[in-house]
Formats: sequence, structure tokens, C-alpha cells
Amino acid sequence: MTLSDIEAQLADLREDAQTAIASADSLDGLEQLRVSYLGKKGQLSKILGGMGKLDPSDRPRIGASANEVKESIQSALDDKRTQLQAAQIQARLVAETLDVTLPGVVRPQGRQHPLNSTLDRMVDIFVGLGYTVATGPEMETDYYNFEALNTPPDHPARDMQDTFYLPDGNLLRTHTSSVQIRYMEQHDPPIRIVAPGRCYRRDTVDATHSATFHQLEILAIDKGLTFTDLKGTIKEFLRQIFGETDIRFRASYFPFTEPSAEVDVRWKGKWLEVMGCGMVDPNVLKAVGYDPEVYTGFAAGLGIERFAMILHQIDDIRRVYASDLRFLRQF
Amino acid sequence: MRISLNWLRELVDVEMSPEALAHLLTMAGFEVEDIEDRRTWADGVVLGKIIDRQPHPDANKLSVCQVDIGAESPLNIVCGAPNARSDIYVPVATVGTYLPQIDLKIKPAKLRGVPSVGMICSLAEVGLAKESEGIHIFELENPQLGSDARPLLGLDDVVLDLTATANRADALSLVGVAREVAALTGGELHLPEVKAVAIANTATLDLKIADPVACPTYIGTVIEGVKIAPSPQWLQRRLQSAGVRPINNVVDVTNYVLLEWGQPLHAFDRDRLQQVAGSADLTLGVRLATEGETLKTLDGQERQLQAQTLLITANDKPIALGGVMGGEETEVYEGTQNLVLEAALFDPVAIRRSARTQSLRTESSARYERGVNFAELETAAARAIALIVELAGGTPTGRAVADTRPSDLSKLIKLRLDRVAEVLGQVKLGDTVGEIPEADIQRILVDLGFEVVPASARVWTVKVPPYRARDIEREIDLIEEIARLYGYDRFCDTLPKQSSYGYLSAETALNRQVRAAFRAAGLTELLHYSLVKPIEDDRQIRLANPLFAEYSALRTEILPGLIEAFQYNYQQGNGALNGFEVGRIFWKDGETLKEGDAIAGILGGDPVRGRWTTSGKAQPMSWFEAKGVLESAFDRLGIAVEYRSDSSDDRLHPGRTASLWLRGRKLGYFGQLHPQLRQEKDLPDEVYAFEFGLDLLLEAVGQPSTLIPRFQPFSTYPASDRDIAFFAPISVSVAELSKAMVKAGGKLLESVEVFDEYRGKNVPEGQRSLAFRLLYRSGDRTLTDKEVDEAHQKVRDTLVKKFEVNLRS
Repeated sequence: MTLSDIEAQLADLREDAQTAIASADSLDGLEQLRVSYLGKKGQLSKILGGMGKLDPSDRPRIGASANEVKESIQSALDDKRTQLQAAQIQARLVAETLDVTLPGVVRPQGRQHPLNSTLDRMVDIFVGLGYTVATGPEMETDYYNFEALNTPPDHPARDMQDTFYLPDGNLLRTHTSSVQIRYMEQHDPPIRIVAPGRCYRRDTVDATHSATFHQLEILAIDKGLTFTDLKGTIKEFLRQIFGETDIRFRASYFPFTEPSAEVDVRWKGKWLEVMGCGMVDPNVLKAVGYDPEVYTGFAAGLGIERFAMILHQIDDIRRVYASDLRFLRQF
Repeated sequence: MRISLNWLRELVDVEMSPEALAHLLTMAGFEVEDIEDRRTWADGVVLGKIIDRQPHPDANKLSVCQVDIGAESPLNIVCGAPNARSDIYVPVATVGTYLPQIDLKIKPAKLRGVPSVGMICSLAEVGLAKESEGIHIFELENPQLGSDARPLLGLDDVVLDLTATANRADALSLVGVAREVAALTGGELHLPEVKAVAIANTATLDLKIADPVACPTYIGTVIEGVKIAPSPQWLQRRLQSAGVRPINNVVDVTNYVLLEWGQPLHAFDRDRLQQVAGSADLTLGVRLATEGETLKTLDGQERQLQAQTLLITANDKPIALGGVMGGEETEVYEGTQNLVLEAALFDPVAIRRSARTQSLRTESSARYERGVNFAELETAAARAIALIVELAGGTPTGRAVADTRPSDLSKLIKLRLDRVAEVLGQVKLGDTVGEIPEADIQRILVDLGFEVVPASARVWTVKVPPYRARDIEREIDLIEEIARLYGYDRFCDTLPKQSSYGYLSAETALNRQVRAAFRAAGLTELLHYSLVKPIEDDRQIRLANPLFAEYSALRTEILPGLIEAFQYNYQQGNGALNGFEVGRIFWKDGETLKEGDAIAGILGGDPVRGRWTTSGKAQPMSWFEAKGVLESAFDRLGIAVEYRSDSSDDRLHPGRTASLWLRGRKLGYFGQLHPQLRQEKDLPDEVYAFEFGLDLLLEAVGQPSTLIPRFQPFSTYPASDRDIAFFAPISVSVAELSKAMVKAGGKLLESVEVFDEYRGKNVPEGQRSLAFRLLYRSGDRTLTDKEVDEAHQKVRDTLVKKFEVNLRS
């Protein structure tokens, strides 16, 4: 074995390896090539095995040559590995490609009921205006529902609110105004409350009337509150609900407020009556022991169904209580 | 109330358009709900005269008329009316006319081959009658052919349908509305001049008012020698415009005065009264009925009278429901010759109660209930007497009067201008703002008929006209009038100067959290009526005065409504309703009625959308998945709920129902619907339900430690796990086993998780195989195997000792 033989063998090996590596088509095949060329019992080792017979002075030269060949093969292997790995990922990507337009598997969350969401929104607006939430019983006494609200027995205004009576002589509240009285009895002014809740009227059921419905009532009592404060408050509330639109206050009558007004909103070109309001009648303040010469206040009430129906353009109030999924899923 | 503009314009000068007037009234609190412009009903209809009528050559029922409408040549009109003949004056709708009441546009046409240009009208075709036998024929003195037929038909009027608020009794009359219009527009009032004729008392008529509170004033006037006939056209038209049917001259006069002055009147046939009384000497009385008395009223109804029914009597025999409706037996008829005209005042409460006993509401009772004007009773009575004399002849021959009214009906109220500003605030004055100018306040009050006298600086004494005595009693009533007439929209818009802290109440905030948690778990918010069909349940509250049987009781729980809603959606093919409701429930506790809030839910079916991954197959929710829905909501709310087997509710599967407990207090239940119920309602098997008391839930959710959880440090050392498998008696629950393991494992045991359950082959009868994974970990060191094994051995020993389990690993 001569120096030149070995050098020739090394050159052959390098060429062989380059060709074989270039044509490898899998990472497994590449690994086999690595073992076959560079492994402990590989071809390079074999060639170098013959080195012992060489003159020691030639050994460094061959050693350098062999290292060069080894590095060249190693580098070819690494390049090829990178290349094959990239190809493998590429193939996987192709194989794993989905039709992204197929529907997802949905475990749907529940929806908000339009009455609840409307109510929440209104309460939040009034909270922003400095009010806090108050509630009261749905089974009410005549005193809280009528008498304390300046509506004595046989008052003609009682005709405006046909009432369901209970076996114990009490009634189902016809409005949330009863909460006003209960709250004022328990608290001293200043007062700012928003009282949402369910009410009942003995009314024929049709597209716009329901024996069960929801109202929201606000009450503000303080020194120096005026009719203009009522107007400004209502307008700000309606602006937040309906956006910038015309609002008008019409004179009206409620036994528990004076002056009283109905409020209309221009919505889709028409005037819609949306709420009633007024300055709290001095008799109501007297009923809860406030001095009407010291305190004034205002109150307003509205039907939540009416607002929900206007905002969502719901055609029939009965849908709101029918729990039809085709309805519920829309909100 | 229907207000004829022609009539109104006789009482007050008002030039504005009907629309402008309607707007003005609406803004001032008299809501105009409809403007009935009768002028449009016959716009294009002219007076014509049939000058020739020939039968139609091809149709039996048609005739061909030549109609002169004052034009160069007569119109050829084919007419189907049986009463068409020559030489009559008729309303003719010319070509191009639109008749809105029958939605017809007149076009040139051919009827069975004969051309026709126009239509001869019946009253029905111009909206004046529901049905007509034939065309309308005018009786005219001075016919102007071709002139507008509307004034001849009374269709030159506009009628406003106006609602007066409950406090404004005075505005239920033309005179009252005219006064309001005068104040709003500054137009001059022209109220009818009424000449009162002096009438002497008569011995043949006496009064006996048993209840002067119910009837403060009664005036009976005898009018002799009347001739009953139809009213003249103008009177009939006035009544018709107000929606009142003309009957005869006497009755029409009473109705006319009712509309004009708002004062109900009633005319009795005097001779019939004498018959009922059995005497020529009449004593009219006012008293409450006694049980068992009856009266046949004008509407033909035989009425059973009650203790609160207010009666007019003749020699103590019932003849009318006082202030509500007259009696049939003493009614004016075509043969009536002599009258007793009643003009009376009744107490609002007495009439309200009386009318209610008969479930009646009439034009008369509606006015008395609100309170008619005390001051103008005589005026109205004199007006009626004068009209009866004019239209029916007759002579007032005597009267009887019982009067307990106070002599001075006027009222004085102190008005402080500072108070006006305190209540109302500021108004827009050109470019600035300020209080309503004093001059404006004065003008408004004077326009409304008040007399204003300054008493001291910025304090006035205001004298209320008697016709407003009913609703103007206090200073605040005057302030309202000032604001109303000044115009609400001219006031500023301000926010209260002093602000307040706004916040959601704890209850509302927690309620929202609970709703959000259940929504996130996949349940949709539902709302149902609280009024339900009654069931056999002593605890259920039934309404005293229900409107419909199916809404005559209050719900004692929420679940039945949810089951119904589930069934409805299932039947509609909408799929399984997964929803919950937070709402109020009601029950009887002995004789006490109670109410409280509850939350209930229904779930089941396969709520998953996107079934293509399971080849379109639904995978109905299992019991444990349903329980998992609940648990995920409870997890989010941060509360630990304990489940105990429960079989007390017969709507639920006895082996698949749990009662839920929160810190030793019962929260509610969760379970699968009973197969029996599912079968009855035709529901799928996998339907689950729950209902809890809301208060207890909110109380738990609202604990400060739940609302603001405290951070718990976690161990950074590795855990060791140990599995344990055993046969245990079926009667021992996993909850019990877990609890025992946790206790036995002590501080080192971090968690216990069941990971397998098996029953059946290779498991002894009455037992089940269970497998648990226990995780041991310490916060301050890595545990040695020895430490873990010791702790685990304690767990194993406890299981064997306490539950006699058969350890398998």
C-alpha cells in the first residue's frame, strides 16, 4: 500500500460518497450512508486502517487528507439532512392540509335574552349617571302600589292600571313605582335609584300587551332638583339608547308626579311614545315623611319590552316569552 | 272624545290647520290620536239632478241616467240603485274622484256595453252609513247644480279624536276643549248664550235625596206638551260627528248638552213615571239599592241591583241607575207628551262604585266619575230646556230643586313665583336662559281663566275658575299649568348640579355573574310568564280576579315552564333547548303568601354544532356531561357544591337525581327527567333539569373570599403519583371514598381523581371496580418513596377498614 494508493482511495471515497449522498432520498438512507462512510467500521476507517504500513513521515499528510475527506462527507451529509428534513416537513404539510371552510365543531355559549340585555344596558346608563339599583316585592300592598303614590281608592287613575288581586287582599304590583315608596321609607335624601322589575296588569294579551311585563323606574330626590334636571337626565338616557335623535316632552298626567310628561322619540321617521315622567308630587313626598318644601325630585318609568321591541324591531311581544330557539339565537 | 272642528270653531276663534291644532293639543296633554278629515271622504262629489232614467238594454237591475251637474251637457251614468229615478237631486262622484271609505277611484267605464262617466253615491259610499239601500236623495230648497256636495252631506268637517287625561273632567266637553284652545292660541271664546227662564216650584214634583253626599244637587224640571220627532239635520250631524246615534229631539238635546257642557242629563216620560209611581204626585228620590231589587235599563238589560248601586226612584220605585243609565220603563218614546228633565250632580266615588256593580261605563258615568263641573249645572239645564222648547215645543211648568252645594265654589291658592322657579328651573330666553318671565306666568293664568292678584312680593293670590276646581287644588297644580302652557320644550335641559355615586347593587352584580356563568356553560337565557295554569298544589297562589283560566295562578317553581319550552322547540324541529331562567316564584306558607327568586335550567340533546366530524350522528349529552355543564358554571362562580343521591321528585329519574348542597344547606336539585314524563311529553331520553334557590347561591357567590380569591402558593417540587384499584360495594359513593382518602392521605396528598369505573363481568355481584390516581406532593421538598409509600399505605388501610373494599393493586 503506497501513499499514492491511499490518496487515490480517499479521492475515490470522497467522490463515491458525494454521489451517494446526493442521490439519497430519505433520512434513513442518509443515516445508512453515514454509517457506511464515516461509521467506526465504515469505509473511511478501513482506508485509514492501511495507514499503519506507511512511513511515519507520510502519516501526517494522509491524516490531513483523511480529515479533509471526512469533513467534506460530513458537510455533504448535513446539507442533505437539512434538505431532506425540509422536504419531509413539506410533505407533511401537504398531507395535513385541510379544507378550512369546513365548519368548526361548536359547543355554543348561551345567549342573552333581549329583555335582559336591554335592561342591563339601561341600568348601566343610569349607574353612569349616579344611580344605584333598588328592588322590591312583586306581591305588593295597595298602600305601596297606589295609596302612597297619591292614588287613593276610587281614584279614576286606577282605571289606567287594571290590577290582579291576591287571595289575601294584596295585589300584583302594576308598576315599579312601588319601589320608590319602599326605598324612600328606608333612606334619607339625597336619593338616586333605578328600579327594574316585573309588573302585572289585567290586560288582554295581544301583539303589544302582555299581562306580565317589565318596567324600569328612576327616582331622584334632593334639594334643588328641577324639571329641567328631569328633562336633561331623560334626554341623556335616550341619547345613549337611541343615538342622536329628536325627543319631545308632552304634557300628561300621573297621580304621583306633577308636572307630568310623556316622552316621544323620533325613530325611523315616526314619533314613538317611550316613557312617562314628572316631578314627584308633594303628596308622595309627604307620604314618606319628606318635607316637599325642602326636597324636590323627579321620577320616570318605562316599559323594557317596548324598548327591546323598538331596538330589535321585534313584531310581537309574545315572542319575547315563547322561548323559540329561532328567536333566542338571534340575540 | 271626538271633537268636530266646525262645532269647536263656533265656540272659539281658531284659524290654524287641523294638523297644527292637533299638534298643539297633543303637546299640551290632550293627545289627538286620530284626525278624521271627513272632507276627503267626498272630495269631487257634486250636486247633480237626474233628468232622465232609462232601463239598461242588457241588464235588469241597472239603469242609464242622464245627470245634470250644471255642465254644458249632462253626464251619462249607469246606476244600479233601485231608487234611481228622474227629477231627484243626488250626490255625483265625478270622474277622477277618489272615495277613500270604499277605496274606489272613479274612472270612465263601460257597464254591459253602456258608457258611464261618474257615479251616483249612496251614503255608504261617502262613509256616512254602514249600509245603504240606494243612492242618497237630497231634499233641497235652492239647489245649485254642480256645487260641492260635501256641505250638504255634512262632510265639510274634520273630527279630532282627543284623549283628556284622567284629571281633566272639564275637558270631556266641547266647551272645555274650547277653553283650552282659547288659552293655547289666544283665540276668543264664544260660549253659547243661555237664557235661564224662571220656573216656579210645583206641588206635583217633590224630591227626597236620601244620600246628599252621593247626590249633592238634583234639579227636576217638568216640561209639558212636547212633540217627539226626529231632530233637525244640524243637530243630528253634531251628534254623528261625536259618534252618538240620533234618536229623537228630546233625547238628542240631552246628548247634545252632554257633549257641549259635559253635564249628563236625563229626560223621563212624566206620564210613565206616574204609572210606575202609581200616583200623579211624584217624589223622585236618590238612594242606594237594596239587595234583590231589579231594574230594566235602556239597553234592554234586566239588572240585579246591589247594595252599592245608586238609584233614582219615583215614589221609592227604581226608575234609573243614577248618573249611569236610565230605565226602559220610563224612557221617552214617540208618544211622549210630558217630561221630567233630570239635571243632577253625583259624587265621583259613588258613581264609580255603582257603575262597577253593573260592569257599566257610559258617557254619563265616565264624566261623573271624573267629577263634573259644580258651577255650570244650571247653565246646562237651562240650555237643554231652551233647546227642548225650541225643537220639541212644550212648556216648562214647574221644578223641584235639592241643593247642598257650598254657596261659594271659587277657590283661592297662594302662588309663590320663587317656588315656580324652584320646581321648574330655567327656560330658554332667546340667547340666554332664566326664569319664566312674570308677565308670561300672568298671561298663562289669565288665559286659563284664573284671576291673579298680587299679595306680596313675588307671591300672588290666584282665584280658580269653578270649572277647574276639580283639578286645581294646590300650588303645584298651578305650577304644572304654567309649565304646560309655556311649553315643555321651551325649558332648558340640565343635569342635577349635585352628583351621586352610582353603583350596581351587590344583588344585581352577582345576578349578572351567575347569568354569565351559565351562559358560558352553554345555556341560553329564557324568560317565561309568572302567571300559569293552576295545578293541584296547596302551596300555589291563585289570583282573586284572573282574566284567563290559563293565567290564573302564580308559578311555584320555574322548571315546568322550561319543560314546556323544551317540548315546544323539540316539536318545532328546533332541536334541544339548552337554557336557564332566573325569576321569581311564589308560594303559600300556611296563610302567608311568599315570594323568592330561583334559577332553573333545562339541557340535553346534542348541543354541538358541526356534526360532520361524527358522520352526522348526534351524540346526546350523557348524565355526567350534563352534570359537567353545571360544574363548569359552579367552577366559574367559585363555589363547591356537594351532590347527594335523591329520589323525592317524581318528575325526575329516581336513580339519576341529586340534591345539591352548599355548606350543609340544600341548594336545589339536578337530575334526568323521569322516563314516564319523557314518554308523556314525547321527549328524547337525554333531558336534564335543575332548579336552585337564588338567594343561597348568590350568598355563596358573594362571599368576599369567592369574589376576591386569595392566591395559594403552589409547590415547585415534583409530585409522586400512586394508583389504587379495588372492588367496592355499589352502595358506597365515590364522594364518600374520596373524602375518606383525602382525610387519610393527610397533608402530603395533593389530589384524588377517579379514573375508571367498571361493573359487570369479573366483578362480584353488588360491587363495582374503581380506580383512583392519588398525587402526593410537598411544598418544601421532594418526597422520598418511603414518605409517599407510608402515606399511601394509610389510605389503603383506611379503605379496607372503613368500606371493606377488596384491593386489587
